Amino acid sequence: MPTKQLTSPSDLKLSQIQVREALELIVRHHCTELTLLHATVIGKPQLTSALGRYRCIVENKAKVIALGAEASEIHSVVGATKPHSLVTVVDGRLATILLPMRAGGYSLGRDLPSRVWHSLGYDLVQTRGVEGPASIFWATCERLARRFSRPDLADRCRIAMLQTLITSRISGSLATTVVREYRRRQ
Amino acid sequence: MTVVDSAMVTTAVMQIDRWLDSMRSDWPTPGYGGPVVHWWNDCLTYQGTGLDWRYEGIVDGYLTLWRRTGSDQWRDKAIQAGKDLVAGQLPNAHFQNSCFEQNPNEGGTPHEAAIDVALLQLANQIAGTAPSLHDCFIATAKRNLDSYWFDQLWHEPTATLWDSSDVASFVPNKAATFLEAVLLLADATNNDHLLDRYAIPTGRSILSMQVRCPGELLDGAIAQNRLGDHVVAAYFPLYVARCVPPLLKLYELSNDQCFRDGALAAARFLTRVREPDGGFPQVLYGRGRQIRYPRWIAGAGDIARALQVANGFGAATEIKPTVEWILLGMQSDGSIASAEGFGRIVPIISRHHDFADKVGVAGWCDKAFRVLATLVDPEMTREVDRAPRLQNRAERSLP
Repeated sequence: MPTKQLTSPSDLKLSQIQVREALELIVRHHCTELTLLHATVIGKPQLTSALGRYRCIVENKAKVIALGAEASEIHSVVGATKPHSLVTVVDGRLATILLPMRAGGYSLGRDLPSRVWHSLGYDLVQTRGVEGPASIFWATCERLARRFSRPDLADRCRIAMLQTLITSRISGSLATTVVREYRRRQ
Repeated sequence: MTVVDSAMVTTAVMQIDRWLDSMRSDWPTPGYGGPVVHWWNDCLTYQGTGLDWRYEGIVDGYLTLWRRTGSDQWRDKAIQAGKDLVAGQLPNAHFQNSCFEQNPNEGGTPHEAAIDVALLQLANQIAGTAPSLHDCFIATAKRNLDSYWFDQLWHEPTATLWDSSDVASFVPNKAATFLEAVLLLADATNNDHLLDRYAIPTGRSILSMQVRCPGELLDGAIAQNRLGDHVVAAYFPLYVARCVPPLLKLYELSNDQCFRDGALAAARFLTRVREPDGGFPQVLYGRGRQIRYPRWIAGAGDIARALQVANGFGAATEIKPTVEWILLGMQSDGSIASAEGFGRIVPIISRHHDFADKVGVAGWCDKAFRVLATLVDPEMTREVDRAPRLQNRAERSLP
């Protein structure tokens, strides 16, 4: 099944649990206030508006959050405002395998190559993955348990899947969706 | 029947009221905010206002306190909650952030029907004293019911309420909340047609999901879901309980004995699976399997309420053990703990999740609040020392 692009706000439902979790990861790591997020948010309109539901976004050129943004958009914002930090949400290494198999699997696009980030003057400081091997393992177990008429085990596996959605810091890129933070070199 | 300690209940209710005040938020719309922990998922990152089933218990609880004490402060709080809902209705008739554990999002089920229940109950109670608000609350609920529940989720060919407009699924506890809203709307608008067209078929659909095997543990239980023809044979006491009051109300209006029988069988199932400490397992399956944790504490209010309502129709169930189970969950901030055992669902994996037990959630505490409100000593509500109000969430977030 081919991957498709987000086309309307209603496309971003919980079925895309890894995208939702990535947005929540950003909010948890980059918001210090209950209601405000100070950043410039670029990228797919559906994702930027979804992020805006978590916090009221206050324009701040020092921090850019790029949600499935095109390379040209990133180049443009870096050239214009030279933000101190830049957070990207992109497809991880497992996306190429998983998204084509998944009904309604949306591609967020690939991150810029590391040499490009380097040439722009940015260093990678953190990578967090969403939906890595652990959660995929539990999701598979859930399916098997349902197939073998063990709804009790299936429900436990579903919960384990949710509780392992965020990958460890070490294996961040091995995931369906990846959140990376880059900082400008001093 | 043994008597519940009304002093303790009254203290708990006054504390929950104070805690609810502290959960008021101004963002993105005025209302009750805060985190959500749930069996299905948590909503810990978005903590703004949620317009969902929390309003059902908040409004009902305050209306109950108003009726029992005669003090207008409780009516005013119920009206304030109603105004939150009116302000939070979107142009498409949905309510903003109505998805509880899936917030921030809209179109939550059964949450938007629960909001309609709250609005219609409120309208019913204030009809004589605030006619313009009465009309406004009915219009708000009717707009949501018409455009979402009747136009999108109601599947006319099968006379079934679907859980989603594009998937043939039926969830009895959600349908029960819809049923309650329909009955209230029929009453508010004098439209008996709603009873035949929506309420009775929905009641029958709920009963079609009920296990009837006398002598078996699951007798009276109602399955959680049906996807197409496949019944998901999971039996959540909380969800079974939420079917009981609407079925009994339907029995009163239709005089069809099957709804009373089904509701009382469900109540007997709840009594059968209640544990000695008054709590309930999370979910039971066939062949004696169950997942015990998390055992709801504040949310058990809806189970106690179901048993209490069933007692009015001939059941003879002690609600005291469950009320005491809820009261044991009282916390120092005034909230009632959400559950016991979030950290025990999956060995090792869930151990970091045990913090969820103690999270105060407006959409769980409302359930304790509304059942406990029916048990307060009206005199004592005036005597309980109301300590200075906690800062609400909006004030706390100010720089």
